[in-house]
Amino acid sequence: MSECLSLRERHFGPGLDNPADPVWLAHLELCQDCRLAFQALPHVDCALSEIARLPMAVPSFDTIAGAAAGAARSQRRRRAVRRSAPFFYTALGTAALAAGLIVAVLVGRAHQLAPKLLTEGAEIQATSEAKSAVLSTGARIRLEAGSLRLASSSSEHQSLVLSSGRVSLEVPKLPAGSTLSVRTPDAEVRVHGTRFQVIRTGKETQVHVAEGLVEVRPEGVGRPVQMLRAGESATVASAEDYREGLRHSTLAALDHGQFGAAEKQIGQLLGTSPDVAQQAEAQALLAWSFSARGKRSEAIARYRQSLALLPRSQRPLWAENACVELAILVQQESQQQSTGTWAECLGRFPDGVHAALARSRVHSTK
Amino acid sequence: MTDKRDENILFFPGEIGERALRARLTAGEDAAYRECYQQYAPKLMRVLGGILRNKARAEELLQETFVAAFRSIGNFRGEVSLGTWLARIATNRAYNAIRDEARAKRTAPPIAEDRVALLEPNVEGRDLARKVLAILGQMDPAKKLALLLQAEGYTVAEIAEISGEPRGTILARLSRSRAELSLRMVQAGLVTEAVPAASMQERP
Repeated sequence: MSECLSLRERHFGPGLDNPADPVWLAHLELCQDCRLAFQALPHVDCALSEIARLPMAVPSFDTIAGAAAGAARSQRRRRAVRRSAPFFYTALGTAALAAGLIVAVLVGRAHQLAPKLLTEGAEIQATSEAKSAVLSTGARIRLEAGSLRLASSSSEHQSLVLSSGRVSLEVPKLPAGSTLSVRTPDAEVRVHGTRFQVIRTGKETQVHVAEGLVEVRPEGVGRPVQMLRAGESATVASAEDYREGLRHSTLAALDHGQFGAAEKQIGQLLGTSPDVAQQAEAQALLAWSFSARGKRSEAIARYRQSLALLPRSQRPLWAENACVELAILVQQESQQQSTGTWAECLGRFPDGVHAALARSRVHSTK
Repeated sequence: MTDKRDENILFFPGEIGERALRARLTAGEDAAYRECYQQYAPKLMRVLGGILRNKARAEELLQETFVAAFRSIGNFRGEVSLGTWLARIATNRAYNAIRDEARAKRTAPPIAEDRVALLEPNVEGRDLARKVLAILGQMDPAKKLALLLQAEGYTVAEIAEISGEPRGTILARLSRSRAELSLRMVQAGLVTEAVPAASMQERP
C-alpha cells in the first residue's frame, strides 16, 4: 500500500506524465486499483474542468454595495489624510522657520558674532547647535541641522552640498552671470540674490523662499523646473518616489491601452537613473507595449535587453512572464529558433508558473 | 495580443490589470469595488459551494468575504495576487463556519436544516460535475479544497499560499487526491466507458 501511495504521488499530479517509468508500468500490471485509477485519470481532469464551467448564480453586488461604498469612503479619507499631511508639516515648518529667523537675527545682533568664512572643500556641521558662516560673495549661511559642504567656489559659481539637514541662506545681489546653488540628493536650488531655506529630510527636499527668486531643478530627466518667488515653497519628491509614481502611471496607461503615453513615461523613468532591476522591468514594459502595437521585432529586442539586464539570481514574476512572451514572439517568427528561447525560459525559471508550458514547448518545437 | 493568450499563461495584462485594480481599490474608486466583485465572485462562489455544499451559506460567506476584503484592502500589500488573497479569506471563513457548525451540533439537538442541493438550479446538462461534487463531499476537506482550487485554475504555488502550507505538501496532496477521486469515480461507475468491463468484473 505504501508503494502505491509513493508511486501515485509521482504519477497522478497535475501536469505529470511519465508513462515510460518501468517501475510504474510493472506496478500497474500488479495493482488493479492503481491501473483503474490511472486509466480514469483523464476523466478527473475533464470532471474538474466541468466543475469550473458550472454556471454559477452569484448574489448581486447590490447586496454588499452599502458596505463597499463605506470601504471606498474610508479609503478615500485615509488617502486624503496621507496627502494633506505634507502640506500641514510644510506650513508648520514655514512658521517655525519664520520664528527661527527672527530669533536668529535678534540673537546675532545681540552678540555681534562674526560668522566664519567658508572656503572651498570646507564643511560645517550643526550637531548640538546652529552654525553660521559666510561665503566670499557675502552670502550668509545659517545651518540649523545636518552638515553642509562648499563643494566648489569660483567667481562665476559657488556650489553648496546639503546631504541632510536644514540651511537658511541670505544671498546679496550677485554680479551678472554669477550663481550660487545648493544641491541635495533630490534637487539643485539655484539663486542669484535672495533669502531662502533648504530642508533635506529622509525622502524629500523642501525649499522656502523669503525674498527674491529661486530656481529649483529636480533630479531626473523631464522633471519640470520650478521658479519660486518670495513667500512660495516647494517640495521636491525623491527620485525614488518620482520613479515609483511614473511606474504606477505607466502600468495604468498600459492597462488602458494608452501605449504612446506609456512609452513616454517609460522614457522618463529610464531618465531618472533607475537601478538595474528597475531598468530591466521598464524595458519589459516597453517591449510589451511594442508587442501590443504589433511591433514584433522591436518587442523581441526589448525583451532580450530586459532579460539580459536582470541578474539571473533575481526571478520576479514579471521577468518570467517577459521570458514566456519573448518565446511566444520568437516562435511566431521562427518555430526552429524558439526551441532555444523556451529552453532559456525553462533554465532560468525551472520552478516557475510557466515551467510546464516551457517544457512542453521545448519538446514540441524540437 | 489577446488572440495569443494561452490559458496556462499569466500575461502582463493580467498582472498589470490586477495591480491597476488594486490601486483603484486603495484609492477608494467606487466602480473598482463592483468590478472586483464581478471578476472574482463567480470563482469564489464555486469554491465556497464546493466546500460547504449549501448554497445559502455559500452566498452568505461570499458576501462576508468581500466585505472583509474591502474593509482591509488598505492593508493588502500585494505579496500574493488579489485572487489568491480573496480565496484565502474565503476558505478560512468557510472552514471556520464548518467548525462552528460542528461544535453547535455537538451541543444542541439536530435541527432540520433547509439544505438545498447546491447549484441545483444551474446544473442542467452538467450531470458529471454534479456527481463529482457529491464525491468530493465525501473526501477529506483538505483534499477537497486542493481539488476545487485546482479546478478553478489556481496554480500549485497559489494553492499553497491559500492553504498556508508548503508547495511540496500541496503537490503530494493533489496527486493523492486525484488518484482517490479517479478511483472513486470508477467505483461510482462514472468512467465505465474508458475502463474495460472485464477489469471492472475482476474487482473483488
